[in-house]
Amino acid sequence: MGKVTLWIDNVQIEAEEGQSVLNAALDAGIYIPHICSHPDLEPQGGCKLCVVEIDGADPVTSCTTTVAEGMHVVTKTEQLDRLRRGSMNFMFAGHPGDCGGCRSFGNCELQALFQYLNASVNPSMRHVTKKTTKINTVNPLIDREMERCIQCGRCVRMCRDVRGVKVLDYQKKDGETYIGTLNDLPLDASGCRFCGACIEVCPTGALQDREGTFRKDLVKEEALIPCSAECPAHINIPQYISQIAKGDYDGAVATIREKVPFPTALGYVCTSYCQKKCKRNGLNGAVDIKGLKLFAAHHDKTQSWHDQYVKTAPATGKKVAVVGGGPCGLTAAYYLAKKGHDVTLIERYPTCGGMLSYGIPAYRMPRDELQKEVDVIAETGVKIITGQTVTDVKALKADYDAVLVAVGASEGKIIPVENHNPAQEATALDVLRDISMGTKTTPEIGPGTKVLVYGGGNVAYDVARSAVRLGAEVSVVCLESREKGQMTADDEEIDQAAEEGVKLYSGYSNSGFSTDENGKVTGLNCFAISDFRFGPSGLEVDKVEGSEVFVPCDVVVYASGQKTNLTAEFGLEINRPGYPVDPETGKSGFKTSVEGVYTAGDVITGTKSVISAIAGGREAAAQIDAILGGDGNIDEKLVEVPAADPYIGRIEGFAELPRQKENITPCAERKCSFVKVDNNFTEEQAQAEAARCLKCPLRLQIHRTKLWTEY
Amino acid sequence: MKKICEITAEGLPAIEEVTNLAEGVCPVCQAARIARKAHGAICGHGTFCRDGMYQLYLIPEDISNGRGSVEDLDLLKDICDLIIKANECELSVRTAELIKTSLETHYDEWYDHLTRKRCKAMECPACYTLYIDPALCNGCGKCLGAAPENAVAGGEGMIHVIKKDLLAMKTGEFAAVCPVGAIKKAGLIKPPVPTDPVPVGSFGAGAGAGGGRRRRRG
Repeated sequence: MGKVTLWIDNVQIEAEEGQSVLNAALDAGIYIPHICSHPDLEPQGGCKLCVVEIDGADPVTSCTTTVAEGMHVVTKTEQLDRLRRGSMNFMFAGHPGDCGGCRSFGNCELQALFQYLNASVNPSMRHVTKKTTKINTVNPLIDREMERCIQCGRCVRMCRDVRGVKVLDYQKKDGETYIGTLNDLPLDASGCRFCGACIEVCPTGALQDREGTFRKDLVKEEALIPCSAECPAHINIPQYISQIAKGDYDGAVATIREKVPFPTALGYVCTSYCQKKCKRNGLNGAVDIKGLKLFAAHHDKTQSWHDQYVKTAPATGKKVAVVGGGPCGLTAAYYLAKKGHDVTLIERYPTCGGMLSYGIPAYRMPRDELQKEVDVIAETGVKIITGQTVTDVKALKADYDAVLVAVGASEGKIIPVENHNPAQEATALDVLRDISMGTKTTPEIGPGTKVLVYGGGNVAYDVARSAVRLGAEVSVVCLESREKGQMTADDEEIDQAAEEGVKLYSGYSNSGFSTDENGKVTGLNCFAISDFRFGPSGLEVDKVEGSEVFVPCDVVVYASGQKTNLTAEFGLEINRPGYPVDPETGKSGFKTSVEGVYTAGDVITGTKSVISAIAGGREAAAQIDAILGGDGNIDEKLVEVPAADPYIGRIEGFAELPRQKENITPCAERKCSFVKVDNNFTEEQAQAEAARCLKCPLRLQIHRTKLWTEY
Repeated sequence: MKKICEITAEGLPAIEEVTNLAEGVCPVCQAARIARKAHGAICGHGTFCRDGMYQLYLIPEDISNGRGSVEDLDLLKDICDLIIKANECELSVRTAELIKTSLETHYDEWYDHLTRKRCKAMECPACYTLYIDPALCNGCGKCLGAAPENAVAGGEGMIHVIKKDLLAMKTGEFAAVCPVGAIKKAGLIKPPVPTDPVPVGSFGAGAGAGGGRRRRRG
């Protein structure tokens, strides 16, 4: 496109042919006041704040006037000032004066203009009180304080022209103009997509995100996409959901693999921090992100990402050992190998996977599927040594440039309950490992064994449901109340276990075991509690009188916390619970007491989650790469995705699109074997679920309007 | 400036209706009516026609109801000029022109509203009072029930008397409730009426009035 030269306030500027005078000025850094104009919207010429005089003629709105060669534009005259002040006065006649009480205070274009124009409210102007401001103020996710609306129409043009949703428009009632929906339908009944674009372009405090929708401690670019922000590995979740919606399952997996090497495993077992903050929670339940991830992983036919994924940088000649083949160690090994380092991974058990192989039961995490993901990592050249335990890390370090210790928190804890009998008890991790390895548990759990599991998290349920599959009668006892949402186990775990016959005593403490004459434990004396806390003298509970219940048991399994299995002989300085510490900080962290030996994952944080361990592995790999002379950049681009189409259109009933339910193996079939429980979605279901995404990142495509102070 | 809306001025009165006021039409009330109707028809996309035109009827309505000041006349003219300058649509521009013309043509009448509370046409509630013509009132009591806040005093067979000058009685259907049309408007000069209810027929011209007073004293 050609260029034209013009003068604005005697400053010569160059503009694109066809550009508006307003945009030409703004691009050249010359501010002309405006409020109904927005860089992403067609001009409306409604507010008249952008008036200018061109070549001495009558005022025109610069937003609707195209530049011409040799034009002389004047932006400040007495006449223009009168028009602008008139416009401000007209707007303020219907606008509340309680700026201090408005959520947009300090972030309001109207307020900024008021200051710029050095305007004052004309007291003779009659105050306009509108009746229509009370229409549709309460909606899911969006607060509308329409008495603050100046009807600039930016939301209308955004919704109609850019989004194609066409829910908002100028409406008339009782002689008043107002911004609303057709027939004043609530937004959720009008086909609104809740994309938030209207809020984004609103220059005042009229449209606001519901408090709590987005975090305030993050920069806007992160906060506006809660799923990715919450994900410890920051997977681009909206991108892969939109790829799934387009049927591009390979692409979706590529997107996931840009951040994590375990799409399938995470599809089965991820803690899904993303879903807890999904914006759709404010509408009718989060998108089943985990389910969609598994679906993509299962429908990734061509693995288009594969070749690039396993391609490594030229060899650096540096040797790195990774101790521990769990998700953290595997992830770190993969990224270090990608950066060209010679990586050896040492795992004490016969196969890699860590908790994915020996903690989480096979009905929840099919082992063959996990192995495929480990195999891909091995394709980068990572040497995997299994069945070997590292007992002296300093000796190991002698052969390597760097060592990463990612051994997790693999020891369970036993709580010394009164009258307990060591012969009848085990930790959850020991039981789960034995079951995973196909060996007998100690004490043995078999048909008819009465098992009491102590704990309320997913590990407790892994034990409980595994024991059911061995034929046991199982009770779960935990302090945390399910009613109060204190239990950390996933809802579907608790519900499916209940179906399988697991009895739950949530919100229960105990007064010790009962034993028979031989000292054999016969059961636990429990009672309900209304609350509990950990005080200076340990656990304090508020007993509910008369709630005593005797829970019979032959075997007690403790799923009440894990710790590391490290001892001083390993060669690292450790603290009392067994976590390595960095002597410089006195805390657990990336560095340890031994130069060149680093830690990552649960061995720093204590038991957390697979996705946190993966994120920890990524971070450690980047840092070690930098220490070894690399650039420390492990970002990967596996798929080119064109910018998302902002024109999303209207979907009737969008707000009610129901959350799809994953197909679960029927109870009778699953409770007597370790067959996989989660059979995920049909393609139709996956499409329906992907269609529920609110496409939060679209909002970041909208240009931010610059205030006059920025010119 | 370029128009932003194609709406026409159809439905607005001709300029002559504003310059040559018909009998019984007040220019202030006429301006308020014109602006209110036009404002109800605009598309609402422009600040000047949408928000500015509120002022074109809110200010005359205030004047009409006794809440105006002399400064309002200049303010109103300025607003008309701004709306004309902004040129958002034919309807808003023509409305502003009509009101500006009214202000220019009937300036004295507008001015009298504000300084003397005088409305020649007796349309503006703040510029007249209501009274019950004692010669016509038959004491039927219909107005008694229709009046707010016990504004009318009276009883069966008594001439009713308006005790409070309430705006609500002027804007509603109050005057129309009288079956004999005894509720009338009075401007600056009020005809003699009894101060308190007296029997129907006892308040005549001259002696009757005196009689009323005497009776009250007794």
